[in-house]
Amino acid sequence: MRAAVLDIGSNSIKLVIGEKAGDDINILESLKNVVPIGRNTFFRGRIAQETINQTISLLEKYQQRLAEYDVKEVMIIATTAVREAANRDMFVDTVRRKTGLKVEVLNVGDVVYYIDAFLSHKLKKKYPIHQKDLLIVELGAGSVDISVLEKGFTQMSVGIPVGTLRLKNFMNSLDGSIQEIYEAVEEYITNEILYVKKSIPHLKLDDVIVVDENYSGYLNHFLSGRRKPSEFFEFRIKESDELLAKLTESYPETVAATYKVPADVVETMTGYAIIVNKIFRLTKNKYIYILETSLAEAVLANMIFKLELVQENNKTNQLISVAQNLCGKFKLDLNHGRHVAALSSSLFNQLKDTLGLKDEDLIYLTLAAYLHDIGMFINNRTHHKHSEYVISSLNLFRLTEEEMNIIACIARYHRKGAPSSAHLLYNTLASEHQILVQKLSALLRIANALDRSHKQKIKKIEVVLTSKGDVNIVAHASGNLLLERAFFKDKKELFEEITGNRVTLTLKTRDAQEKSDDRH
Amino acid sequence: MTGIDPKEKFIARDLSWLMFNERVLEEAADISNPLLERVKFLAIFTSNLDEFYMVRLAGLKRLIDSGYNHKDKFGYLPAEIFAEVKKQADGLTKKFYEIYHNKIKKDLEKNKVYFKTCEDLTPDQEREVRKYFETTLFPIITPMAVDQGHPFPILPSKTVAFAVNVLRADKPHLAIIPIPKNVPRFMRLPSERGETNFILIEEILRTHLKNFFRGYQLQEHTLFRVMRDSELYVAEEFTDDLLIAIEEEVKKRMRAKVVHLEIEKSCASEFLDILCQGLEFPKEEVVSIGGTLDLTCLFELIPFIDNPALSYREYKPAKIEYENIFERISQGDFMVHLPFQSFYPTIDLIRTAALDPNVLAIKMTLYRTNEDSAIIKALMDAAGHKKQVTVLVEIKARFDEEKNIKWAKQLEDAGCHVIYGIANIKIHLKMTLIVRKEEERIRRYVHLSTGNYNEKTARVYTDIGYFTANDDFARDISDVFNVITGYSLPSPWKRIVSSPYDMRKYFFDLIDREIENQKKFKNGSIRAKMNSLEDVAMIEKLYEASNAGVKIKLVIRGICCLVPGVAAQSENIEVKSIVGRFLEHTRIMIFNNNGSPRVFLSSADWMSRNFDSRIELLFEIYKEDMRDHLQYIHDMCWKDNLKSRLLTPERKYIRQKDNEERFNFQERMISYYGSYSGPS
Repeated sequence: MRAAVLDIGSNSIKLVIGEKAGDDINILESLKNVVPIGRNTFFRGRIAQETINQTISLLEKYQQRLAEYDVKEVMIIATTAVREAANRDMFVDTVRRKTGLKVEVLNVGDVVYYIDAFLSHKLKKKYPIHQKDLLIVELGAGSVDISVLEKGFTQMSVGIPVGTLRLKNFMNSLDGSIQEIYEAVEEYITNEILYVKKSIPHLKLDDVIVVDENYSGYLNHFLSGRRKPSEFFEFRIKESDELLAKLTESYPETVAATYKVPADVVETMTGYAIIVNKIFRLTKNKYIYILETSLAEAVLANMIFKLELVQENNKTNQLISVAQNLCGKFKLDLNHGRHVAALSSSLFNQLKDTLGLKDEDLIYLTLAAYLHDIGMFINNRTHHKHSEYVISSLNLFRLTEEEMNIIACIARYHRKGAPSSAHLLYNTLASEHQILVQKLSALLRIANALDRSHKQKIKKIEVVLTSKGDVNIVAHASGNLLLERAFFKDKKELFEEITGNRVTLTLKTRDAQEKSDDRH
Repeated sequence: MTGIDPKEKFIARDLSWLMFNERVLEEAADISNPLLERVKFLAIFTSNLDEFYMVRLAGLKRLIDSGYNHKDKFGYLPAEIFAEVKKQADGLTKKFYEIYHNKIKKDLEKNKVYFKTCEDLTPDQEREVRKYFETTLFPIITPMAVDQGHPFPILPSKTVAFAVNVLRADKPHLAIIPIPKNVPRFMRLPSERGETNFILIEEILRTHLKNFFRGYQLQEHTLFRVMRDSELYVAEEFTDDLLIAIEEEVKKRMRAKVVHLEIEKSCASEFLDILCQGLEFPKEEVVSIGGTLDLTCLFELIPFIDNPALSYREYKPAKIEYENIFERISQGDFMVHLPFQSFYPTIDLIRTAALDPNVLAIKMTLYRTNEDSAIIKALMDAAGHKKQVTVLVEIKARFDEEKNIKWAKQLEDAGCHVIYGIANIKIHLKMTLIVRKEEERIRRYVHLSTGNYNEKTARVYTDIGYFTANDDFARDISDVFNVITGYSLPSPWKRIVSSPYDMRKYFFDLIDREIENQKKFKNGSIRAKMNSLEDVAMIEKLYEASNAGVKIKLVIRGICCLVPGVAAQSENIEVKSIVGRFLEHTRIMIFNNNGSPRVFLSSADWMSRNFDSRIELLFEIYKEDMRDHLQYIHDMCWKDNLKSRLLTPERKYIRQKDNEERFNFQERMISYYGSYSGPS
């Protein structure tokens, strides 16, 4: 299989064409050209027209390469520089109109997801990534993306807007002695990185992995006694100090000449060294691993080996892991969340054909089930409305903004008023997504009602469809189910409204085989 | 070594080149060469010299005119080197005509080949000549008057023309009659059996001049020939479209400054004054010729003389046996040594690729190619078969600009992506990359060469082509294409070294290693073969190596600015030049590397332009049999004593002594490959 990734980065646009060669990827072409999108976005807020034109003309050239290798699987990704540009949508649209290429703007979580999947594939023998608790740091020109992985499951991912290019510009804007400037920059970064520490207070790390493609290749120029490092190597805290000292001992030009490193690399490498140094200080690790690879290669590996990724670490499970972590952070009843998710999922699977749902829709329902009460953190009154905006502000990987809004709406409609075009967020959704929200929130209402007591009394549910299309839910349970039954009566209405069919509940308790028909 | 006058250390480039052309001339005089080959050497000599006038001499004149007055890297001021070059060139021209008149013409006569004038024609011949004049020449010639209303006509470079002084009502008028270029310079005359008779068309015109000026009184006349500055002035960095800019400049070349003027010896001084005024050329630089002007026309003569005994013994380039070129390359890398082996695999590669349904893309560079090139046709076919064809055309290849523009446009029309070179740098490397789908995997085939993709010169130039399917090569070459076309920034390469990036330094490192080895193991040695050695830094480096005791053997056909065998400078350097049947064009570099030699092929000579302003390629040969074979080739060159001259510390090229066993490298190679199927 052959695939290609076009990576619209902060400083350059890359094309990587690769082909599966056993367990490896044979890189056929690797092209890179400088396009200053990051400079535009970070310092002027938007991508200049000239830069857009430059991008398009380069992409057109790259398309010729795609034809030369008959590549059909192509992904065009963009990161921070495009993501944060005020004219992002116009940029994406212009590129699509002029080249036919659809740019996928990745968020922080996406980047980490790809890197993680790639790492586990690439390092599997050398380093069992899914048995460790890790901090993975991806150092870019625009931002530093950090994610926490526990035994292969993402706990959180954050993007900190202190990339190397931004730091350089920030440092240039400071008016002070060199020493003062470094102190200021350190304080600035410390605050940003401390956020990670505060978010996961129990954080215990086995290792830190820094992913970087721009600077690692030059490390041996600075470090005494280091040969050219391999792709994955230990970087010691002493070396981090040595690097920072040497990078800042003189003007960039002098440093460049002394250590035979291009001057433009030296200019931004200082930021790299400060960030890495700071990570050492925060994690108190004696060494960190540096992995020299690019996002484009990671995405390419994902495309080529997509079927061979470890199942248990797939996207759904990763997202569930993050959702569970959020439950902890927002002090939600995790058992309830997990149970509602399980009931929802069961309903979904048994009713998906009736409702015309696709398998990939399940993840929205699952995440909404975990997070539907997240608004309680703000206030228990109208907490469904709080849930809506909290969820829509979250950043989960491999999910677009629209998808996050779908989840937010499903969660919002787990109680009270039904979806209505008078509701702002719901109204922004595409019409097919509005229908989806209606169907999934109808299922969530029933599932949530069935655990109204938060005691997980219902162990299993079966759906029986009558010839008229009516739905009978047979629930196997134990204990007092009065509350569940009462709420079911109330919450099934939305489902009946949108399907036009009746829903009934049959409760089967272990002790009494109690039967209750609930017809209207 | 610093502080020494560069004149002491180096041979000036232009003087060295003139010495090379002198060696060509010597081949014309050498009676051991077949007669028609000697005629060809004469023609080559004179066409070489024409180019030299239009490029080098023109450049010097430009420098002088601009008032530039600094010494060049060889220690000469522009006026100083100009005077020296002019003296040498005029001397060579004199020698050339001596050989033509006293040797070649006489030897041709011995073989019953005669050049006639109108005075000594038979009646039959005279009738034919008159008929030819009336039906062919007269209708296509228009004399051009020069007077106040008609300025001196613009004559393109290399035009031969009559200047005629005519009188009407006692008033003198000047007229110009250019010798037409669209008819052969020689007319073949009806002849007795076994004889071949020719007459030059200017002789026919000379007799019939009066026909053009009825009503005028014919006074004196002379033939003259102009040569113009041929440099193109393109401000490349400010040009959007290099193709259009070069097209425009080529047109302007017609009106460029005259840099060389030849006239017939018989021309009267006052008449020459008028001519020089009209052409804006200094009278003191005019060269008087006692004989036929512009003997490049001797090339035309050769096909007319049907006598195989007067040419080199025929040979057939050895074939490389295989069924399918892709399969052959997949079996292992191999080389083709031109012209001893056939050029066919190269053409076959492109042709097969054009038709092969699994081939996705073909990329290649073209610098100089021939008319009706099978390669160009195959590329157009490939584009027709919906393959991605990218051709990097160097339209700045000197004197081939117009030709290159023509076929580059044809390629474009056929659907190829044509990239017309890049600003300020010439693409001189020769490479081809073919992308092929094999069982859903990509396999890439690479051809690299020391010489051009030119079917004609492939019969005359010695070159080495290298075929490989090694993917490291393919990646590098693919990357070179991406860099040249501006598609990508360069990334580190595994198998190739390229200029203008790091080739000079790479060689310096290799030489340094030989110096080290010499110190440690006493076995530092460098053997190299190339066309020209002119880069001063490289020469200094070689001197350094020589002084350290490294043994250096150089086979350099053309320019060599290094002075070998000089105490405390180049005692350990020997230089020889082979000028023979084939034009030596391979570039091989061999470094002893403490007994496990490293062997390289390259598209580059060791000239500053190759290192600094051209894109060139150097690559190492790792396969042992091929490495051995390239060393064998160099050794055989070194053994040659028939077509070689040694460069002496006194800066003279001398033939080797007669008492050694006679050995001709090129002839040996013909027989060698004749019973040889090449390294497998």
